[in-house]
Order: sequence, then C-alpha cells, then structure tokens
Amino acid sequence: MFDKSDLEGPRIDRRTATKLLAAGGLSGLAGCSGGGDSGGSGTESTSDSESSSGSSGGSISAGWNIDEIEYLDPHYIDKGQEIYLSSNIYSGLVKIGSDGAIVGDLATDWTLPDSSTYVFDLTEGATFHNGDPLDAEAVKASFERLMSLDDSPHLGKVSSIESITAEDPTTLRISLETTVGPFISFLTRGPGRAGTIVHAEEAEANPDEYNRMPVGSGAFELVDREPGEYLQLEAHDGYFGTDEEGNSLPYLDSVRIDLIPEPSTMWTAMRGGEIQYSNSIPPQNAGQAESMSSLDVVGTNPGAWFCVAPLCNDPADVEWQQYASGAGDATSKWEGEDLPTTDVRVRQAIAMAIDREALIERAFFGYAEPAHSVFNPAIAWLYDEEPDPGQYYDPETATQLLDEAGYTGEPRMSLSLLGTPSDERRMTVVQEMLSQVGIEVELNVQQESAYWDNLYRYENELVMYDGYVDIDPWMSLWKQLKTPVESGSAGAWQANLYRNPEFNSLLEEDYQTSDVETRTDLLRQAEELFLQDAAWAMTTFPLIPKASASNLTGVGNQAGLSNFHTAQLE
Amino acid sequence: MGLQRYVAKRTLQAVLVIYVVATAVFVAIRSIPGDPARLILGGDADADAIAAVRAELGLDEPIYVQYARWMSDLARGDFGSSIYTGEPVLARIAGAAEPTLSIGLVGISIAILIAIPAGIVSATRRDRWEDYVATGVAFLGISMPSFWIGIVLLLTVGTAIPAIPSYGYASISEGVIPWLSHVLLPAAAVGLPYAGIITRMTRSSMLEVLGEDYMQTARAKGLPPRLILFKHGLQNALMPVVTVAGILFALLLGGIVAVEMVFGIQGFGRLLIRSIERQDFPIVQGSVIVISIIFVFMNLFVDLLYMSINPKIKYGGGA
Amino acid sequence: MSTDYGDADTFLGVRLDRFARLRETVAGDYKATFGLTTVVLFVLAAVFAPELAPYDPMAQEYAIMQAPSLSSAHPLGTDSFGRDLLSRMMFGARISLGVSLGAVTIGAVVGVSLGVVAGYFGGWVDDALMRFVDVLWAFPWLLVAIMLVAVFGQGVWNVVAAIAFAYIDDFARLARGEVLSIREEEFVLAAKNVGLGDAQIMIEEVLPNAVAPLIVQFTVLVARAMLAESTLSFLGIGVKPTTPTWGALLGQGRSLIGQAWWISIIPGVAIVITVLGINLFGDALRDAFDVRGEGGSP
Repeated sequence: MFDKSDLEGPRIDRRTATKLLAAGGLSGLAGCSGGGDSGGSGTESTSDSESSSGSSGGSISAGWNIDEIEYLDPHYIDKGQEIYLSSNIYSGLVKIGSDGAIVGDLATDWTLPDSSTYVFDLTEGATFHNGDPLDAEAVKASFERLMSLDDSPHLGKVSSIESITAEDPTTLRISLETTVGPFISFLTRGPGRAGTIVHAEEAEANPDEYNRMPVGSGAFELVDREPGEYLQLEAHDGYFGTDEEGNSLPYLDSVRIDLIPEPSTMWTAMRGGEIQYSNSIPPQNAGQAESMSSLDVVGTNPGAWFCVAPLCNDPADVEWQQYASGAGDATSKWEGEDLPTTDVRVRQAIAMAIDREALIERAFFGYAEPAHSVFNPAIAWLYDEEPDPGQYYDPETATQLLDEAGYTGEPRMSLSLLGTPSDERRMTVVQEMLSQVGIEVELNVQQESAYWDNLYRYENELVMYDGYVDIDPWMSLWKQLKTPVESGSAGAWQANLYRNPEFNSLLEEDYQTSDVETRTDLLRQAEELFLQDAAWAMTTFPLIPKASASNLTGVGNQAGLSNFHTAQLE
Repeated sequence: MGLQRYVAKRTLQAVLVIYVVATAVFVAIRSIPGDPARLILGGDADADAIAAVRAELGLDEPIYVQYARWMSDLARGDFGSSIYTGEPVLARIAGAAEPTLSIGLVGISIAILIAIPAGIVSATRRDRWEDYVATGVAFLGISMPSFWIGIVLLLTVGTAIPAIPSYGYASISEGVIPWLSHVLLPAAAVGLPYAGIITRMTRSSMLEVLGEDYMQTARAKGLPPRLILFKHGLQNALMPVVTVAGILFALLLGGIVAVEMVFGIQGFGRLLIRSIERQDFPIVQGSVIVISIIFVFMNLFVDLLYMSINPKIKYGGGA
Repeated sequence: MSTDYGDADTFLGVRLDRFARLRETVAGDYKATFGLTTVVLFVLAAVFAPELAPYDPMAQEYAIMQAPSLSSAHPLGTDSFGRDLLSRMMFGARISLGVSLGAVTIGAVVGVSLGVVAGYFGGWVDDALMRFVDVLWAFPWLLVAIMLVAVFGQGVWNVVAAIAFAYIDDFARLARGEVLSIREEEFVLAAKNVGLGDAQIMIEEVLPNAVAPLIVQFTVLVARAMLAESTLSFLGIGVKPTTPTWGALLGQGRSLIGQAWWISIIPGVAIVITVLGINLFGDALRDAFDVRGEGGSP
C-alpha cells in the first residue's frame, strides 16, 4: 500500500515512482535508464537542472525509427515512438523527471486531503500553442473528453474518477471513487497518456484534424508535417517550463523529426551528421558510434524482455489451447511424433545451453542485460541482477540433462525455431549455441502476420518471443503463462502451452492482493516454479541505443523518452 | 481491320487482362496466412478485440461477398481505404508514387541523354576505341544490380559531396534544387543499367540503318553526311529504342524498390511491400490495378506509336 | 528428318557450322573470351565449392568478427558472424547458379510450350493463350515473390518460382514469333501432307528451327535472373537468412558499410563480373547464331 505522504508533491521519489508505475501497469519504466548502463558509453541522462552553458537557439534534425505516425491524439496513442513525440508536444499535470522521479509539470505542487482525493496547484499564465489559456478548467475539459471516448484504450485509467472540480484557475481537485494507488502515475505527460492534456474544444470540434495537427501546450508546437516523411516542431514561445535558473525553455528554436524506419539509413544519416539525434540506432553501429568523438550514445531500457519459448504441451493433448488468443486450428502434426520440449529436462537444458553474455556481444553488440529470470529491470521491486535460483549458462549440465532425457544421438534432436526478420541475427546465434550441445535447429523466419499465425498453430518446438513495456508481472505471468480459460484475460496470450496448476493458483492469489509485501512473496514462489519448469528460456533484456551529436546535450532519456526541453547546441 | 477497330479490340483485351490480374491478386493476398486485424491491434490483442476489428473491416464475410463489394465499389471508382490508416487508397498511392515516378523519370532521362549519343558515336566509329569504351561501359551497366550501384554511389559521391543528402526525398513543391539533390543519386543508380541497354540498341539499329540502301542512295545524291545521319538514320534507328524504352519504363518497378531501400526513400515499391506484409488488402489491390493499367496501356501506346512511325506494319498482324 | 537446311548437320537444331563460327568469335574477340572464361570459372567454383572452399561457410567465429579482407587467414575477410567470406561466396555461387538456371529453364519450358502452341494453331487458340501470357506479364513478379514467401516461408524454391514466372512471357512471345514465320515454310506443309500429327510436327519440325534465338535469349535471361535473385535476396525476400547468396551477403553487409565495407562491396563486384561474363558470352552466341533484336524483361 502506498502512504498518502509518499504520494504528495512536489516530488515523488524514484523508488516510489517505480512502484507506482509498476502497480499501474504503465509503460512508465521509471528508473530504467538507470538499469541501462552496460554497453552504453556511460553518459547518463542529463538532468533538467543543468544550467545553460551553451547558447540558446538553434535547430536540429532528429531521426525517429518509425515509418508513419498514425496517432498524435494522446487519448489514442499507444506506440512508444508516438509517446516520445507527444512528450514534447503536450504537457501533463505531472511528468517523469530526469532522474526517474515523478515531479510536477503543469502542477507546481499537489496534496492528498484524503487517500482518494488529489488537489493540484497549477502554474499561472500557462497557455496552449494557440494562445488559449491552460488553466484548471482546460485540464478538467481534457479529462472529460477522454472519459467521453468509447474507443480509447486509456479509458480504464480514468474510470475511477468520481468528480473533477476547477476550484479556481490554478487549483484543480480530482476525487476518485476509491483509492487507486498508482493514479498519480496515470497523470504523467507521455507514458501516463491519460494525464496528457489535450485542448478539448479543438479535439472535439474536429478529431481527425486534431489527430493530424494537434494543439498542445508542451515545449514544442507542431507546425508542419508530411506523412511518412517528417514533422516540424517549433519552440512554443509561451511555454511555462523553465530551467532551474528561471530561463524559459526550450532552448532550441526548432526540431525537425525525420521518419527513418530503415536502421541502415538511420545510421548513415547519423554518421554523416545529417541528423543530430536518433532515438534508436542499430546496436551493431552503436559500438562505432561510441568510438567516434563526434557522437554520444546512451543505452535505454524500454522495459523489454526476450526469450526462447519452448512448446510445453502438444496442442492436441490439451483442450484449453483453443482459448488462447486468436484461437485458430492448432496443428495435429505432433500426433504420434516425439515432442522433446514437453520434457522439462530438455527445456532446462535449452535454458542452460545459452551463453547470455556471448549472445549479448554477438547479437546485441553489448546493448542488453542478461536475463536469468522472468522479471525485467522495469519491474524494479522484483528484478534481481543475479537471481538465485536462475537460468545460467552451463553446457555441461545441459548435456547431462539431455543424456538423462534419453536424447543421445547425433544430433540429439532437430527442432524448428520460429521468428520474425528482426530476430534473424539472434536466431542465428542461438542456433549455433544449441548446436554446441547437440541440438540441431532449423530457422523458420516469417513475416509478422505469418509469425502470429504460425505461433498460435503451435507448429514449432521453439519460438523467439518477446514483450515490451512489461511493467507488472500481471502482464507477463498472468497473461502469458497462466492457463487460459474460456473467458477472461488469464493466459490470453499463451504462446507455448505452459501449464502448472500450482503456478496458476499463486497468480490468482496475487491478483487479489494489493499489498506489496504479500505480492512479492507470492510472486517469488511463482518465479521458483517458472524456473523449475523452465517455462521459457530467458535470454536478454535489450537496451535501445540512442545517439546524439556530441555538441547536442541535455536530451532527456528517462524512461526511454526523448525529451528536447533542455536540449541545447554548443 | 481499321485503326479504330484495332484500338478497340486491344483496349478490350487490356481491360480483360487487368481484370484477371486484379482478381488473381484479390484471391492471392487473402491466401496469405495471418490476420490483418491482429496486426493492427498488435500481438497482444485478445480474441474478442480481433473479432471486432475483423467485423468492422468486413473481413469476416465470405470471400465472394467481399469480392462483390469490392467490384461494385470499383465500378464507382472507389478504391477503398487503407486498413491501417484509413487513408483513401488512391491518395496513398499517389503520395507514394511521387518519389518513385521522380526517380524513374529522371533515371530514364539520364539514361537516354547518355545512351543515345553514346550509341550513335559507337556506331559511327565502329570498332575504334570510342566504340570499345562505349560498348564496354554499356555491358558493365547492364551487369550491375542497380541497388549496388546505389550503394557505391552513396559511398563515393554521397560522402564526397555534402550537398547531396544520403537519404530521404523532397517533393518538387519544396523546390527544384532540394528535389533534384535527393533524386539524383537514386536516379543514376536506376538509370545506368538502362543506359547500357539503350546504348547497345541504338548502336545496333544505327549500324543497320547505316548500311541500308536508301542511305547509300542519299549519299550518292550528295546530301551532307550530317543531314543523312540525323534525318534518315536517326528516325529509323530510334524506333526500336522508343518501343523498348516505353516498356522498360513500365518495368522499372523491380529495380527501383531496392534502390529506394538503399536511399531510405518511402516510395511506391516500399508501400507495396509493406502493405503485403501488413496485409493491407485495399492498398495491395489498388496498387496492382494501377500497375497493370500502366503496363498494359503503355504497351498499347507504344505499339500504336511504333505502327504510326513505321507504316509498313499493318494492324492485326503478328506482334 | 528433313529440315530447310538441306543436308547440313545440326545439333539441337542449330547448324554445326554455327558452332564453328562461335569458336572463331570467342577466340578472336577478347570480350567473348573473357565472357566464356568467367562463366567457366563461376561454374567450376559453384560445382566444386565443397572441395575448394577453405572454410565451412556456416562456421561462426566471433573472435575474428568482421576481419578485413586480405588478412592472412581470410583473403576476402569475414562477415559480422566471423564467417569466411570467400567460402560463403563459393557456396553462394552454387545457389545463384542453381536458381538462375532453374528459373530460366522452367520459364523457358513453360513459355516456349505456350508460344509454340499459340503460334502454330493461330486463331482463337493464339488469342486466348497470348492473353493468358499478357496476364502473366502484367502481374508484377515482385508481388509474386513476396506472396510466395508469405505463404510458404523463406526458401530457395520461392525465388526460383517467382523468377521463372517473370520470364514465361518473354519465351512465349519469342517462340510464337519464330513459329509464325516457320509454319508457312514448305517443309512444315510437307509434313502435314504426309499426315504427321500436330504435336509431332510442333516438336520435330517447328521447334528445332526456332531454337537459335531461344538459346540466345536463355543466356541473356540467366544473366538477368542472377540480378533478379540478388535483388530479392538483398530485399530479404526469398532465401533463409543463413543462405549465402551473393545478394544476401550484400544485404547483410549494408548496416556495417562504414566499418566493414568489404562485406557488401566484394559480393557486389562478384555479381557484376559474373553477370558481365554471361552477357558477353550471350552476345557472342548471338553473333554466331545470327540472331538479332533484344527483348525487354526484368
């Protein structure tokens, strides 16, 4: 449970912030850039309070790793790349500060008169990009607009709001029906989504146009865009944000966001100086970037995890596989055939056959953390860098287990590994590692659409599987590994037909608990079962390298964001 | 048969061909495993949401119903909208086609500008060093994959001249200089192989023409050699070139896609590939129809042009 | 069997003295010699790759990842998995050779059959078949490739099928054109009078006399098929990621072009030289067999 005083402003410390974001199931990832040290050049995200040593002004071009921006209306935004953009265009009541703590954005301070009420003190004189006042009424209107949308994916975050009152232009009171611990984290600009403030009037008047050319209140205004090509941002003169010395932000005059979906092109542009910032460069080039004095690189953690998921059960043997997402017809090819991955010893051997450090070097070029258990660094309260027990590289024991399981031929077995084109390099490395313990692997690379199809037909013994933005064990363990039932979210994303009744009941208990201590205990037990059963062979927690020209400083990378508020050219 | 009847017959056949192709694509793309609804929602969607989206998109109806609906829309000129962005198909195609067309046109122009003079020189200086050089370069040109030419150009010219950007496209509405600076290298990459083909064709047809009787007659009459060359020779020599150039232009698609990828240009080729991968049916269907129309009618146009230049050919004969 | 050439000996329908001319052409013209030599070398490397390659093309050795070319152990360098580039290229030659020959052969068989039948019978058969060929021609082959891969997954056969698909119309039209001029010849009419069946006539009389330009076209298209295959591999459509076709090697090297340019450039050079060789040789064939004209195909 969260203490009321923990949740009050003007600043919620990083540890609490992490828990809040975790409990809220958000792509908050607070504190994750802290977890993302290795592989990078060690340049930490710079703090807001860095004084402007460089000159004000200037324009930059930044590369965004996506081919089109579909949504700029924050009430519909769900993709990371779009969130990074919206964080520059909009304001929120609060925001994730440069060190991962939740601090005020539009709100200068806030208090909780009781555990289900929040009172915010707002900055005076703030305006939208079009000059309209940004006061308590406007914020209230923004919330009401979200609550009126049937099809917004973020409705759940505001469903507990009982009433919103604009007591005066700079005071806003939000009352919830019940206590919702993580509520404050929903109000962060960007990752919080629900709390990103829209100009309700404009949005309601013409939603399509608003989605295309929004009116925000953030540091930058969108002045021009060419779909599929670029977006032009210009500094908002009336922006209320200032640095520690009271200088008004942003420092830069304008930012041009070039949409560059092709990694090689992105790197060429970065290397040639055509763009001064890239929010994602290919890991294989990050090494070269590190050695170039004209570039700076930092590795950020998007709350992701990668694993190899072995098929734990023959789909024909279990009736519940039909409840898994997109239940098509599962294959019957395993009938009468030996399915080695149903044997727990084989699964454990696979987990032990993977040399995670080597995989990180060869496929991630250093930009990842080894994954020895299922909780990724974003789930800070459960993550352990060297968990015990855990999955570690141990080829001798692996071969022993395979012998025990009766697979002694040469090769011991032939398995098919499913993945998408972006997994290719990892698959190649894994294939080689498994061959070292006598497991022959055939690579089955499919385009995304066919990948999902293949997956839910359970045709491959092994699948390259991953998750992004998994912030709470509810997302991974509950939805991915629990046994699916006819209705409900349990096991809705089951990729590999894992089933353990004890595991299931632990998760059910956890679902009904809000006390962090009890949850930790239950989840540790579940984790033990996960490791015993080797439900997945965890591989890595990847980091995304972001690069900037060395004369561009002050870009905020907390929580994987790319904030240009305090960016400046030297 | 008369010209009108011939054109009518060919047009009818063209429409038939396009119809068959469009239908084939309609069926083929729905045979690809996978579910566009799932792709839209992301891999983490649950079965209900997916079903809802499928219904919204009309994908849960039997295929003949979908087909009938599509056909009736087409008859009204409605190509539908992208499953992903909701943007009307034709608008989307037009947007993506601009860079591709720019590259193609500039590429062919470069090719013709280089190749025809080269071919003429090659023919008139047969077996001398000019011929060898031109022929050698031509052969090299047709032996290089255009995307490789693009990579090499990027590495050499692109890095040497900072004014030339290494990626992206600028619409001509932003100014001719930006447009040209983005288009030049990819166009050169695409154009070089065609320059090779056109050089050789020009050369061989010039050689033929130079040996013809009427050329010798003209010379015997004492007409100045330049005049002979240009007036009589070139006209006839260019005919096969025109024929092939027309078809080649329509066939640029294959080569351009890879070049677009090298230069990070979001053109038509990329749109097509991405749409197939994402199973954005309306865009794929619309694109194929557009391509077929261009192909087929370009072919018809070139045939007619050919016939009009060369009155010896009669309509209705063999190809 | 009577042919219009009287008593001259033929091989595959082509007069033997034409082969003599070919020999002369190749010997005399350095371009053709170069072409032939290159082709022979390529075929040898492809066929004997397992014996000739210094390393296992799949062996990953991370210690020497991206070693530059002309390093002592690796004359052409290594790629980003530490695999020897020379060995990968030799094995890649096999696949490229197989794919190109296979694709053009299939395209030829199907296309020529269609064309001969269409040209021989004429009339509505001709119309129908040629419209079918038009449909094939109008269908973008790139689309076919992508869809095949989407349905069947990656694999060499998809590439072969897609490229074969692209060349059917070429062979069909060429064969038809030839047949149209041949079918009025005396020996064909004579055969009909004698009472030979249509199929027999087509195969035994007409086809052998149409072969010369088809052989030339075959060569030309093998060259183009190699380029087409490299394009598909470069785009990542077609073969599995570990398959070392030259186009795939080129594509894999792209992201490292600043640090390890040889991974992209060297296979590219190899493609150019090989295709150039085939083209030069094809040109010599054309001269020797007295064929004119150039088609237009991808």
